[in-house]
Amino acid sequence: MKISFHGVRGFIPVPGARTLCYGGNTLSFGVETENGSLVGIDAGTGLSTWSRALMARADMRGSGKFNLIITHTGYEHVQGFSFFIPALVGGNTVNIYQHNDINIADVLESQVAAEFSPMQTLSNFGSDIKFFSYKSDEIIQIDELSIVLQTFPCGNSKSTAVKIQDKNSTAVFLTQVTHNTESIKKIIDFSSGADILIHDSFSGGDITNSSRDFSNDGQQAVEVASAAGVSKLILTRYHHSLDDKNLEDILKRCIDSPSNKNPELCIELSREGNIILI
Amino acid sequence: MKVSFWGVRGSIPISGVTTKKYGGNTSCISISSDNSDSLIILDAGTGIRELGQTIIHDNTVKNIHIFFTHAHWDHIQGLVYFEPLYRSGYKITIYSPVKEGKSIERILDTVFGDAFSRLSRNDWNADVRIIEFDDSTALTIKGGYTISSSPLNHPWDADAYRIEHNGNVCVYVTDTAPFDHLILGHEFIGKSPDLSTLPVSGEIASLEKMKSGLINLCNNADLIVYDTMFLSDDYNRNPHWGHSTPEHAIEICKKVNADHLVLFHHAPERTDEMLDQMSEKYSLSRNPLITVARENTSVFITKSGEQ
Repeated sequence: MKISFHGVRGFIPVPGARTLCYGGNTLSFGVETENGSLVGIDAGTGLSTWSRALMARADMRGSGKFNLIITHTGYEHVQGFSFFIPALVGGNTVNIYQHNDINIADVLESQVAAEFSPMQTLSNFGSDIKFFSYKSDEIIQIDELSIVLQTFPCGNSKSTAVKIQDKNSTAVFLTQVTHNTESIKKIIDFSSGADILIHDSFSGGDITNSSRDFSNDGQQAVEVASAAGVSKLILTRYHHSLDDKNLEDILKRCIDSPSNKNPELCIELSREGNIILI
Repeated sequence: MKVSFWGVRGSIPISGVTTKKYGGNTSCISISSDNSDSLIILDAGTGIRELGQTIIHDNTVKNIHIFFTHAHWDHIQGLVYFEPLYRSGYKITIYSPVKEGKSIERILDTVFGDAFSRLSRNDWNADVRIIEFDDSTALTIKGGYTISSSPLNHPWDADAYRIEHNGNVCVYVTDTAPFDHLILGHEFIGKSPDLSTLPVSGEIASLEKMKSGLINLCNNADLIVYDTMFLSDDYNRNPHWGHSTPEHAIEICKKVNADHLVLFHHAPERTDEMLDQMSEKYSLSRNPLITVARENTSVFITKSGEQ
């Protein structure tokens, strides 16, 4: 399984010198199958950047299929879709997968409405955009990948966790999650045994405050990864106030965290442009 | 008058090493003067986040006036993260011209709605007022600023703004197609039209009216910030997307004898190297002086002796 990172930032994109190392685009991850099938996780501004590279593939110029899972309706998960070039190309198909609990279709339609986007409606995109809804116990099969979606509470809304398995490996994406005593056991169960857990690092606090305390960022991810017995934890969805140095401080605190009961656990920062082969 | 650039990019923010010099944030500029405690903000692309932090840090500006050229995301997507909205002690006025089929309240409700945002309008602690104004007359606001506007040629409408203060004039012209071929309105145009057949006779008068309105707005401007997202090949491929080239902007500036043109609203794929080349290409121009908009820089207009 090949996982690529195109946007790792939460909330709002933060281009600039302070974020050059780890990146300033909002959430976008890619999984590529052995046959070259593509699965995107989330449609933040990183998806737009990724799509320029994808257009080097011959199939994306009019005969391609792109699979997209959007985990949450917040800006950082959807705002790149209007500029996802393969969706604008006639002959391409974009299959968008959503959990039954979350209506991504309505949100994307609202996002591209005439006042907000020159596209005016999804039906004006050149590609054939299809939505598929799944329950928690159903499996999405894309080539050798078996994909399961499950929702968890996230503030006043819900967020989708994504588990992707092939015959050798398992990756879990928890892109936006708010832990509480009830949900954390279910989150640990869902993540159990994964080779890679890509987990939201935001620990809460005043979103708008540029000087918020970030000393607890990533700690809940460490708790989940450690309890679930995953091999590698990759932190993501960084708050917009954090610069590259702040992120390295967060990583150090997570590596030294008392919540980490697994000395074998490898912890890394997600970084735009990185590719991981499991 | 000080004109500061916080976001100079169009369409979508772009992050990374190839755009670090000119910046990757979407459209936002601010205008201030040394004898006024008011700040004018034009557009709220992602650049407004950094501006908000600067306002909090500097703690000098308390009266903030925000105007939008239109509601496409690259002109509003930063507003949710504009920190002064959530702080008491700030007086923020959001202005919108009255237009058929447009409602600033509905736009703000969507932008701050549950689906997209964890922050809502109920989280605002600033004293926020929303004013819809008749765009056929000039608006005078506290601090001695006069604001007037004129419609632009862009899908689903946009407006240019002229800001005057003590005889200094800045005009902000984004987003707009030129006024040569077709009127862009509420109809969706899916394919590039054949430019050799345009304009159709019914649109010639409307195009001329829109162009003369903009020329009047730009009259005697010291500084014009203009949408030059396109190069000529881009425009020929996509004239229906609603953007101009530097040559279109220069034509308007020469007609009004503007002193300084700032090329603005760069395409996300326009790298620092390309923008350096653009800067070099126009570096010898003096009528008008032509520069390329760059994030975190300011232009000072000192015609009337103030800044």
